[in-house]
Amino acid sequence: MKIIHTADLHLDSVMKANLDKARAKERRDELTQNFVRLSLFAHQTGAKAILIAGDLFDDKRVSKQVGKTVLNEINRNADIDYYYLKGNHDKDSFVNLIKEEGEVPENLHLFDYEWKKYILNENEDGRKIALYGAEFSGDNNGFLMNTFHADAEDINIVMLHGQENEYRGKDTTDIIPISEMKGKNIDYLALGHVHEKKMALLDSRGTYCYPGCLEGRGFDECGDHGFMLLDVNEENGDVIAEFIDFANRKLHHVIVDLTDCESTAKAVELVREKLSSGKYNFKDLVKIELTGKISEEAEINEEYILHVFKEDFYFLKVKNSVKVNVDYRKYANDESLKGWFIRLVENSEELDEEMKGQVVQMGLRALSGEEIVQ
Amino acid sequence: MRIISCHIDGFGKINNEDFSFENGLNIFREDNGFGKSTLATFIKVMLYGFEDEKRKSLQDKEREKYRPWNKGTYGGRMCFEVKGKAYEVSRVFGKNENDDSFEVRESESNNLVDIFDKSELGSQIFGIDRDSFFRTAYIAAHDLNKREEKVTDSIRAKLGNLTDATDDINNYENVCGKIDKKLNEYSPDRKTGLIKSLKSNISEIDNELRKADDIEKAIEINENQMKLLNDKLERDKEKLESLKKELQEVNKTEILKEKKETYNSYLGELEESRKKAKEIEDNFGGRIPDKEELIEAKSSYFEYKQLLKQMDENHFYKDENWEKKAEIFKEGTPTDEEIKEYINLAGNEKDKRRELLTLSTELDKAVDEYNMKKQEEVKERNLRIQAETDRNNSGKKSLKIILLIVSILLIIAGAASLIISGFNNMLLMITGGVCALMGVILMVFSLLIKGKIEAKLEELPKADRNEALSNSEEAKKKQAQIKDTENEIILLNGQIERFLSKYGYSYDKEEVVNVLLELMKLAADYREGADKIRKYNELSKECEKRENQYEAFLKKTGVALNDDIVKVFESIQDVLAAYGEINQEIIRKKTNVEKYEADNDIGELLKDIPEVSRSREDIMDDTDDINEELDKDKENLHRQRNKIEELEEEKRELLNLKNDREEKSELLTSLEREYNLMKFTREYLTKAKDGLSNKYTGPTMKAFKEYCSIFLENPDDFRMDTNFEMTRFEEGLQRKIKDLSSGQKDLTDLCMRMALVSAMYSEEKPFIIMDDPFVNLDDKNLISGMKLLDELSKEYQIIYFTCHKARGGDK
Repeated sequence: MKIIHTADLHLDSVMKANLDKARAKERRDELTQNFVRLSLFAHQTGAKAILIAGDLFDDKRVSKQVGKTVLNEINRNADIDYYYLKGNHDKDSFVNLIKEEGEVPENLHLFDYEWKKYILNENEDGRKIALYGAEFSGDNNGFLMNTFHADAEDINIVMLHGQENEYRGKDTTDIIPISEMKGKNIDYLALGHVHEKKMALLDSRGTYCYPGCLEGRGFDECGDHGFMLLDVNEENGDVIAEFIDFANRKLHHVIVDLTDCESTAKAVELVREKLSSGKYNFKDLVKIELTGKISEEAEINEEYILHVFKEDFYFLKVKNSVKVNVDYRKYANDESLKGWFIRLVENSEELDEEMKGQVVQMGLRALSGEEIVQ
Repeated sequence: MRIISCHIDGFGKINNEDFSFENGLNIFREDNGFGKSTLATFIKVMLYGFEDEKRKSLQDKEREKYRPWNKGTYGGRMCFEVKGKAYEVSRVFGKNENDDSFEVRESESNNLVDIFDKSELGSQIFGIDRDSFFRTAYIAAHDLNKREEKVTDSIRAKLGNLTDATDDINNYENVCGKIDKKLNEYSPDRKTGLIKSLKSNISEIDNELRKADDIEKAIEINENQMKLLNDKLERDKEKLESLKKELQEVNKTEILKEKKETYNSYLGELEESRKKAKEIEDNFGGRIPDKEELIEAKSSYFEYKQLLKQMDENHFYKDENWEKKAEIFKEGTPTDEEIKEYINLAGNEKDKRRELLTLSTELDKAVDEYNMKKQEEVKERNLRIQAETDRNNSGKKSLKIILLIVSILLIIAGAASLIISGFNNMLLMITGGVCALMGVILMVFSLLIKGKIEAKLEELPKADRNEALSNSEEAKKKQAQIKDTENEIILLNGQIERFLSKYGYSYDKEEVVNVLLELMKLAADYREGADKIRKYNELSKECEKRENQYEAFLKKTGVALNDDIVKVFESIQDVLAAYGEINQEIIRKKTNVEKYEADNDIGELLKDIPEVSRSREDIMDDTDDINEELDKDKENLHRQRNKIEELEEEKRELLNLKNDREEKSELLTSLEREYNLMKFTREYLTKAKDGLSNKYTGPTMKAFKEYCSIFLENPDDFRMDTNFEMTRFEEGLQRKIKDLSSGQKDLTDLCMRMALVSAMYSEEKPFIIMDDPFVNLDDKNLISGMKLLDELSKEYQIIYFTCHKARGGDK
């Protein structure tokens, strides 16, 4: 049986990556559309269940448009069962919206603050695939850990939303103490909350996994994002998890070292070289950070670099983190105004090294008639 | 550096004039109007070109001001020495700068040099621009003590020896100007400054964002209300559920009742049908005949009737000849075919007789043919013989002729030979004799040949029938055929006769056919009669059988018989049909009952059905009310949700604003950083400039004090800032120079200028042009001035213009 494990879709989220209003709205709509795409993928691959391990929505309140889109999709795919566990962001707003519209669809299964069990392959032969799930209420962590029991004969999948930790610790609100989940006949612990994919052994029988968020929303969520496709062998109980790269757009933080680069033209070349590796798609959002050390006479115009490459991507941002490395020895005997200026800056006690470099660079630009501020 | 000489072709009022200059002081004392200023300007123009070239009005242009009055060549040349080398610069001025000609030659070699630029000659020589030149090396009275800045950047550069480096010091004012402009743009204080306006913007956003809490609260309140509405909705739904259940119960009861009624009606109908069936069965004495029996009996009756009819049709009346015929045909009746066969035989017999005749004729013919053939043969032979004889005769005749001819010829030949020989030639004589002899022989021979021989012909045979019969194959054959035919005739006759005798008829060859025809007719009549009798008997048997069948059926049914059997049957049929229908009805109704029992819980139906507490109508009314309430609830919820949506939208807008604020904050941080950088850059550039300037204010101050000491008592009281602004200590503080007399101010200024020159030109001294600098000095100051002049001339070539003897014009 094929099952999809996803989490942290954060639908209806305000997109943070410095997008203008129109683009931010577009990205928000794309995120909503991801749910539709996910359902379509399930339909095409014959997956019978979609496990949503929390934070389906970004906020405790969900807008009608997004809520209805999700509801419509669930209704449209009546042959797929959706198992929805709420996280720390989403609350009852979606379920309330459903109830306003009518009844909770039969293929939408919810969880509560106590363990709930569903059999995913009721009408099939072979071992039963039992799905357990519970939501943290803020003070039921211990209760949940102590009351979990699963039949060893079944293929047991457990859904939780929280931060994994070896032990419970003092603040237990959303902590998933991995050590307390071991030895409980769990074949696959389907988690949510962490936005990066992570998979590790739980015990000799099972594994735990964060699929990561379905799509990055800011430059703190760069790289591949998607979900886990589980292939459950009902005969021998094997649960094989495959990561599916699914994001519509990816975010990339590209660091370009401009050390010893003297000009914007050369910088453009270096950036181009970096961007031509094939990893960066025209659909993606890219943040280029210029690093390294340049001389005081080098001119690096990040606005120009942005202008050169901005049409190559959906969104491009350029951050100049280049440090100016002044060779003060060159100016030791320079009796010009420039020499005097640089020596004064070098010997300044009020400026830190980084600022000294920037002041020197600005002064030289000013003296050579270039734009003082680029 | 020094000026050696100059020649003016035409420049202002001066034309075609030469001037030479010495080291040290060169005094030009001329009356006003001579052109001293013109000469001074000429020197300047030769070095720097004209000023004000960009001015539109001709009157304002210096070029036009000094255009020669006599319209001659406008220009001249000047020899000068710089770094120990003498050069001559020549310029001819046209209508505008592009029309000007310019060249510099080395005086010694007269070679053109291209190291000097037309418009930069002065700068290249002095290392300072025109403006700076006028502030230093060119001193006129009106220039002294001017408020304008004394020291240009060019001067500063020169003072700092920066002419070969970048023009950064020259740019300092520009640079600082740009930075100041940028700082202004960014200003955190000015209303239009980027930082200030951004901060305002952020502040406005913050004000807007403060609404977020209110909106959040409003959302919470509305959500609580929504929760209450939801609860009410749930309660109403529960009520509706309960009403539905109640209605279901009522429906269930009603359905149960209905079902029970239906079941009872099914049972009733079944019972009724069964009763009807029983009645009919009773009418039939408990045994209902089946349909096939009825059909069979009815069929038997109709067949019986049919058979009776056929019997009538087949009734045969025997006539008086019947017995006779019976007697004839007691052994059997011949069929028509049989009789026809004998007719054929009779026909055959006749044919055979005819054939016999024919064969006899043919036999005769064959015999005749034989005899004739035989005769023909003899005739042929005779002809052949005759022909041969004739041939022989003919041949002989021919031979005879030939022999005669040949013999004649021989005889002739012989005679000829003899004649010819004349009886002299023995040979000829012999030959001729032989020939003649042979000819005679031949002639005799031919005469001996017999003539026509008569042929030996046979005599024609007479016709002999017996012989022919014995020898002619054809005749033999015919004979055999005749014999066969005769035998066949005998056989045929025998057959026919025997046949006829069976039926008492005699055989007459000529009448046999008629007899046979008659027999055939008789036999046919007899057969027909016999058939009819047989058929009638058969029909009668069948008729009896059928009658027994239907009578037996009717007896079995117990139905009273009457004359109209058909009606009886019909009535039975009707009853059976009715019975059949009733049976079908029973089956159908029974099926209904069984189906109903299968589909329903009969146990339930048979139980007593309890009465309902409320009527359906009451429940429906309550349901309608609740539904109305639910609609209202949903509408309220919908409204509430819309309200929340609107608030959420507002909140989202605020979130967007928040994002906006974050971006702006980032931008502000960036601008502030840049602002600080610019400030520091400006500050350090100024410090650098001051430092650099301070480097050369020292030497300048020293020189100034030296020169001032000539006419001032306390030159050490003077101080100079980096802008070369002079101050003097007065009453413990540095104050701007105010209390010097105007003459002393002029002198001070002159000292300042010369101090600058001294500081600028540490290696090679420039020439100095002074255009009556002491015109404003009184006598006392004039003396100081002249002393200064003397002092200066020890170091510099000074070209001094004056119009008054008192100001050095007597030298």
